[in-house]
Amino acid sequence: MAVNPPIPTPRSDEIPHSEQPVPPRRASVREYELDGEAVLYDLQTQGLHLLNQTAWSVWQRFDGQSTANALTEELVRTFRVDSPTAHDHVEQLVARFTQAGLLREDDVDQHI
Amino acid sequence: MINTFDQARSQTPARTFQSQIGELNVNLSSDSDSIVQDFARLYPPSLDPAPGPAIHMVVRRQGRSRLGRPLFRVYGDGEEIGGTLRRSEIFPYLEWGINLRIIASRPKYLQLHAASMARSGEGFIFAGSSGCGKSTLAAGLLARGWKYYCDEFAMIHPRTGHLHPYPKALCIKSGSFPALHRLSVPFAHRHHFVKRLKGRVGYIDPQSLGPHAIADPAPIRFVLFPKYESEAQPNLVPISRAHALLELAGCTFNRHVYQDQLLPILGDVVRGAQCFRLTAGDLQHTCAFLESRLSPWAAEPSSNIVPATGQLELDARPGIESSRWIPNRRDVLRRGAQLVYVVPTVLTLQSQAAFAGTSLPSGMCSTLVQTGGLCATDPDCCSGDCDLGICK
Repeated sequence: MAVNPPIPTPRSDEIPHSEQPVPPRRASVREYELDGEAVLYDLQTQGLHLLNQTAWSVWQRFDGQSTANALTEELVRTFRVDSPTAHDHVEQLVARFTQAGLLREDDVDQHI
Repeated sequence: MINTFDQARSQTPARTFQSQIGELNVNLSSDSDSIVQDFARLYPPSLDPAPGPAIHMVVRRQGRSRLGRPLFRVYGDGEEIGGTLRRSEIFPYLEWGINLRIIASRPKYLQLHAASMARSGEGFIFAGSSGCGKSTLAAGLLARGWKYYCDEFAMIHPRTGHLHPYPKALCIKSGSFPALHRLSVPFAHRHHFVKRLKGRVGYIDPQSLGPHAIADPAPIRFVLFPKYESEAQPNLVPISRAHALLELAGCTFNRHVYQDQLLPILGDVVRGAQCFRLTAGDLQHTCAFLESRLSPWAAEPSSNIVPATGQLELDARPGIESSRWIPNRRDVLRRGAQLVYVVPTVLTLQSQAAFAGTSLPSGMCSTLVQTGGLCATDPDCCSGDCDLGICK
C-alpha cells in the first residue's frame, strides 16, 4: 500500500480564524465504528448516517469545546491536506451535521 | 348492505383453521370455505401450537359487487385491514396483515426487510425494497436446493445473531412467473391473486420444493443488496461493512424496538459477514453465479474481499468488480505517516425515506411501522386520504 510522505504542518497564522467551539453532538445519537467508517443512528429522529473516515474523525471532536481551528489542525496533522481545504471541509461538516439535526440545537444557535 | 365492524366481529365465522408458520401460530376464520382452503393449501395445520399468542385473522363476506360477486373484509387481531375486497384480493391482504401483525407484536427478533436463505449451514440475507427481486431470487435458490427462512423478513436473534425461519409462502409477481416455470417451481394455486401495487401475484409453498426446505438457525455469512436488471449480467460489488450496516439499519422494520441495541446487533452481523451489492439478471444465471462466486469464500470468511488496510485487492474472477478501500487510520498512523486525505462525506438515510423507500412490504404505510398500528383505511394508501400514511 502506498502511503504519501507527510506534508509540513502549516503555521498557525495559515489556519483561518475560527475560535468558537463547534456545537456538541446530541445525546440521542448512537455511534458505531466499523473499519474506520461509522454509522450514526439518531434515536429521536430515527435518522441514519454513514460517515467516511474523514468525517468520522471530525465528528468525534464535536464535544462542545473544540474549535473549528482545532479540528482543522487535527485534520492537517492526520491527513495529507492543506489547511484552507481542511477548514472549508470542517465548516461544511458543521453545516451538514446541523442540517441533519445531529448537534445540540442551543449550541448550534450560539455557534451561528 | 355492509355491516359495521362491530357487527362483523361479533358474528361467528363458519370455519376456523389453525396453522403454524415457523414459530408463529396463525388462526384464520372465515365464512368462505374457499378462502380457508386457499390458506390451508399453503400452511400446515397446527398440531402442536408453538408457545405464545396466535395471530387471529378473520375474513368475512361483506355484501356483493354490482356484478353480483361476493365482497369481503379482512381483520387482523380485531382490527380491520383494508377496505372492501374482491375474492382475488383476499390472500395478498391476509399475507400483508400477518406481516403487519408480526412487526407490531413480535419483538423477539430484529426484523429486516430481506429475503433470507441458507446454504451449507451459512446464512444469506438479500435485503432491499419491494421490487428488487428478493422473492424471485429466493424461489430460484430454493429450487436449487438452498434452504429457506423467508422471502420478506430476515428474523435475527438479537443475542446470537442467527437467522431464524419464518417460512411463509413466497409471493411472486407475475413478471417472474416464466422464469420460475422454467425452473419447474410449482405454484400452490391454479389461479392467481391480485395485489394492488404489485398486480398479479402467485404463491409458492416452500415445502413443496422438498421435505427439508426450511433452514435451521444459522449465522449470517453474506449480506447482499440485490437489484434486478432484466438484461444485466449478474455481478457482485463489495461494499464496506459500515455501508452495509447503514442499509441494514434502514431496512429494519422494528428498529424503534431495539433503539440502543440496533447498531451493535447489526454491527456484529456485518462483522461476521461479507457484504456486496448484487446485480441480478436472468434468474438461472444469477443463482448459478452466486453459487460459483460465493461458495469458495464461504469457507474462508476473512479472504481478500475486504482487507483491513490498503486498497481492495483486485479480483480477477469475472463478474466481480473490485472497489477502492479506505486505508485504516490506526495502521497508517502507527507507521508514522499521514493518511491520504479523502473528502469527508456524510450519507444520510432520512427517516421517512428509509421506511417508505426501503423497508416496507408493498403497500405498507410507513407510519404504521413506526407506530406498530394498523391502517384505518387502505393499506395501499398513496392518495393522501389516509391520515396516518406518509404516502410514497
